[in-house]
Amino acid sequence: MQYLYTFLLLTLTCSTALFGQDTEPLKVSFGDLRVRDIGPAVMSGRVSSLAVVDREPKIMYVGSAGGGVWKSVSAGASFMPVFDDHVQSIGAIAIDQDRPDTVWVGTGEPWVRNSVSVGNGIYVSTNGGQTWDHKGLENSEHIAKVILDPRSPGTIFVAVQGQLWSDSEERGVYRSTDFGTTWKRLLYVNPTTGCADLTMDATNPDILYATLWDHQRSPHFFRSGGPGSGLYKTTDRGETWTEVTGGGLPPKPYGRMAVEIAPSAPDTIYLTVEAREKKDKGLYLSADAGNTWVKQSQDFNTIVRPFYFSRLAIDPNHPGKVYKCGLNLIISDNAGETWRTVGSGVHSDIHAVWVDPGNSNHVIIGTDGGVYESYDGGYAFRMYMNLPISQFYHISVDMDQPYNVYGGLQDNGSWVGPSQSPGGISNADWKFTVGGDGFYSFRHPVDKDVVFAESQGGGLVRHNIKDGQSKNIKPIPDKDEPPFRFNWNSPIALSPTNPERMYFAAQFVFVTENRGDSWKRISPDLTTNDPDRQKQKESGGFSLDNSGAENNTTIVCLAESPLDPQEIWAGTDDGHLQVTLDGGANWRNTTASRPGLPATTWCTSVEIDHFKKGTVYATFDGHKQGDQQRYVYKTTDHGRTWTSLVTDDIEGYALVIRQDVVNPDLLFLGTEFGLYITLDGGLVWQRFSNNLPKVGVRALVVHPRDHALIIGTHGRGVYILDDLRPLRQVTHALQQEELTFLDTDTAYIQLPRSGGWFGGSGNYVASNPSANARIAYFMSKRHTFGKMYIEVLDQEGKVIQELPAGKSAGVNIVELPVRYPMPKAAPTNNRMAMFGSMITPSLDEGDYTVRVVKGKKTFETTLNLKHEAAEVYSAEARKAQANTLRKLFDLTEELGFVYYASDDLREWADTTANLIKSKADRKELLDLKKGVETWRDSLVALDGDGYVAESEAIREEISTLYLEVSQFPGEPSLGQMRKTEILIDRMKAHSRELERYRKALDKISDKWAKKGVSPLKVRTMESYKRA
Amino acid sequence: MKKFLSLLLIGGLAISMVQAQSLDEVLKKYYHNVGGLENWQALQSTKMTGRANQMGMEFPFTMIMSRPNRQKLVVDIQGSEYVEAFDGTTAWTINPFMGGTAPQKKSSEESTEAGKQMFEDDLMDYAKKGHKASLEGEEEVDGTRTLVVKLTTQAGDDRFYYIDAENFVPLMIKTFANTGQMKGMPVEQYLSDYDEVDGMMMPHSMTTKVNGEVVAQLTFDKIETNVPVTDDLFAFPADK
Repeated sequence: MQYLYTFLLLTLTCSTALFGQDTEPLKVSFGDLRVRDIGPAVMSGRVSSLAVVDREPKIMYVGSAGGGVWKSVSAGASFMPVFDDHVQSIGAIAIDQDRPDTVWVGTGEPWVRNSVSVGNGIYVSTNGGQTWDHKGLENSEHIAKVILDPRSPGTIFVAVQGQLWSDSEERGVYRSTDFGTTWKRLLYVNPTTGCADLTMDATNPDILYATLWDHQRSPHFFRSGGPGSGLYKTTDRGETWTEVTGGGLPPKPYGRMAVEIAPSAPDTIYLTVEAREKKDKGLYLSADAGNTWVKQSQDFNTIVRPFYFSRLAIDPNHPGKVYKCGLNLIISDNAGETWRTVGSGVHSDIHAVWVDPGNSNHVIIGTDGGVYESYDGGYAFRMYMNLPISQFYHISVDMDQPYNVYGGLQDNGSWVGPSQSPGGISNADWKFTVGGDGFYSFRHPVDKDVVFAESQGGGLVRHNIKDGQSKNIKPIPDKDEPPFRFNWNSPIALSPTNPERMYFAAQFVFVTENRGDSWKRISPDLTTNDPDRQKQKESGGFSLDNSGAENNTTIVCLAESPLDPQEIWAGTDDGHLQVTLDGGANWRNTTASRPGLPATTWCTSVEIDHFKKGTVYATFDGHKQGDQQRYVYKTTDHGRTWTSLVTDDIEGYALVIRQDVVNPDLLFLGTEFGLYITLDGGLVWQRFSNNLPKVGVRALVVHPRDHALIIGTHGRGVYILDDLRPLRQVTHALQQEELTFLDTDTAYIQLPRSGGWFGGSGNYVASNPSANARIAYFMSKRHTFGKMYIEVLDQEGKVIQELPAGKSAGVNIVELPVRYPMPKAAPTNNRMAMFGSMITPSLDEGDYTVRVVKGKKTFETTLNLKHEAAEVYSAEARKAQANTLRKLFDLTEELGFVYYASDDLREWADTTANLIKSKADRKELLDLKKGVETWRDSLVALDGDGYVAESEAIREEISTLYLEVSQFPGEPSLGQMRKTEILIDRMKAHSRELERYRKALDKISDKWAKKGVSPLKVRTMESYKRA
Repeated sequence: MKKFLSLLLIGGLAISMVQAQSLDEVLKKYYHNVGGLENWQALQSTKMTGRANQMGMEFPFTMIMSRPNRQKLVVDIQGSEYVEAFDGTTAWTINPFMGGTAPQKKSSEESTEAGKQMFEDDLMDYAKKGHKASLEGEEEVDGTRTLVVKLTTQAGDDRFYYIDAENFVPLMIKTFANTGQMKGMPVEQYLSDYDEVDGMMMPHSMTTKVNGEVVAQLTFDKIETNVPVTDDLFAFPADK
């Protein structure tokens, strides 16, 4: 309830009038603002390449399709991303096996499906991935393989597949002999042909085979195969190449081919051939170094989808043991004559195989759904459940508390997961809803059981969470209607004004108000309807590839205005952006009025302003036409005129734009290379990189209640920027001030929630938002010299906490633990008692003063705290807990004081006994000392091993009870409260004992002080607490 | 203190006038602004007393370091001592969290790593020590322009110093974890609250981030220089 109240207050107080338009660009440091990722790793994502240190296979690198490079030094028990500052689409990884800290990464995945991301050349690390140097081949876009010459660490061969969507001359086989400083193109035939595979003779590195692949994609068509494709061989390190033809090979032209030399028998060559004729396709074997060939197999997986699966691996110890990537992995023990298929439990679509040279039964594979490892030669595989490289297309959120995130993923269906979970968000927290490739997915705005999700080509379903059943609700053409053209990634839009209204689109826009049971068509064909762009059924080249991925002249973006349900926008994959202002009766194409936008450029998002009618933002992406320019536009007159919001700050073609729901000038832009934020309506953009890699950002959602930005990436799962409030308040004026507090509203003292168990390292667990309150402020300059810290004062003006301050120029977020400091305590060797005395009671509800001390200046603000527990536990119950806890806290400190004060007595008695001459007094002193010692030792348990050989004294009894009572926010049990009183009584007795000894010693002290002996000094409770 | 402020001002002016600077120039300004290389090279030991904030809790600590690479950190955990120490050969610990109340010698790998933490910063006179350094360009740290100096130690470890381009003091030092589960992860130490101690400018606040996430914040309330130290202080208790 209180959340809703806060939300309402916030929306009431933040009117658009607060945010004036300024013409000066507003550029600031994001400082401590940091995104957290929430996974998921349960379905992982596409893996394009693998590299393993042969002599130490626990060290491996995983190259992902869109999620960068991950390194494990523990055989997959844990992984660490090592390439976050660079493009995340990985083509090939090569380790220098003699110097395994040297690792080469060729970027740009070679498995070039419609949704593939792009690379920007080759990188090398000489320190095991800690830092990377870019080594050129900037325009290569896709790199299929990197091979190092084992004789010379500076010699690198690169199979450059080249640009997918356009002609380019940076493709073919490249070699550097100076560690990547310069490159020589060794093999090239034409601007649409790149190198798709490369293999080197392990016994004679002068010999290499390369397959060239003639291919090209457009938004609406894919061609694999052409005159440029061929098999080539060199015997002089690539200086000269001979095309290998005849001798049993089928006639040209070819498509994509994989080639591998058997490492243990270098005259044995395997080749898969994509030929024009079906009879010529398949796996070919040469036993004489490529002179003659035999067609070994036409197994389905040797010929299926060559553009996606042309990769072979040969067992390093057995030349006849062959692994072929395919829809499934197939394995042959007899040089490809017969095969067995790896089936159950492993994700389909295999792209990479590594076979351990030291143990042929040890196999690691990369698939569309992560990495799997087998130790029995490829029968049983276990999955690495800790690679969050999931590829989202779209995401959405609900209004649960905490909210959930919904989304669809490339080849991994549609899922829902929580934004936080006790113990962290684990694989088990993510729930699968609908299969296929996944795209838009929403929960019904009011019916919690209903989720809308879709698969490729408009496979829209209404899924019931309760019983797991899904109804297909895809619109079907009536008898007088033309076939509907649904995009691979068809748009769904929920109405922001009516929870029962939903839009969907093919080339037409449809609307339903009965959850998809029936649809009403509300537009004409809004696309170019160009028949040349409607050849999906012929797409694929030498292997028909009618998957729906090239469906074109379709609507791909949809939105209803939050200010006017009659205003609907629809963007297409062929360059149209259409608007209706009358609920679909009339549509107007706004394309012609956009400056600088080439015709037919794909519309990637449309965002209707939340505050001002007529204002709309849109992004366009031309990379599928070979144009990687950035296109971001704004109109303020319903699309009659547009201005570009692109600045040089933006890198990567634009994929999505969203406006904040509170500050109209705060815009978020996702591109192929990360997240960009503008604070001034687009005058200047800044890349947000605090924990966010340079990953393709395809989906952005501002949570309407929780001030969070949820970021869907195509390769690194979902990230959340938990609190947008500080960013909303950044203005030019702040840059003139030394320090300005940013409002963070009421903070909630959260209930402690335990969760998680001993899962070891193998499962991915993402972090929760911090349970601390936040202090936010903006500084115009970093603090470097002199003291700077934060004091928190209670209602009485007493300093209850001192915290290190944030020192950054820009936004600083300091986490304030909503707890008092822990009590001072006597020592113990009892482990649970030690943990017990580290418990810190919650702060009370109310206002606190936050004071930033910066040199001689101080800055103050007020922080309001409320208890989350207040919703469940009555004020009386919480008070009972707080009182008991406070008593036990005080007891802990009292005992600590008595313990250390008794030490003062003991030490004085001991020292003085050696100084004085009176035998009687000395004896009394030593007796008292012994008495103090024995009594003091009875207060604490210092024997034992800190684990199971422990004992218990009053110190341990207090702390154990303190721990127990602290764990429940309601009324303690009667037994706990009674025990507290018993301990208080016992403590009183100990305090009296301290007094008794002190008085006895004081007497002697008084007597001897006159004779020059230092008098007895015992610390006070106050000095003990201060120390 | 006044002297330092004027030095810093001069440093600040210098950067706006000079565009390209060599590594030597950058280091010269850095050492100048922190009190002079000779002062730092004359330093024999330091004792730092302060507070460590970790996971929302605060613990008092004392850290003593001396040439060449001896160190001892004592943290008071509710009356129990947590100790991390290195005596020049062996690293040892007392860790009450792990159930141990007796001192334990650490693994040889951990001892090797501890031994690499030299009292005198490796960047000082790096060439004489057999390390390599280079100026890598500029980068923004904490919203502030810094010059990045890369140091590669003789042992092959890379370390990056982000030196404030205006004030010429390090704002951040980045290393990489060499052992354990965190192996290879970037470890960043953000330095601030520089103040004068016996003629040298020393940071009194240090925030450590692993993989970008804050793991510990140290506040040094008091820094003493050239405190007397004995071998005994660092030695493994059983060997005493």
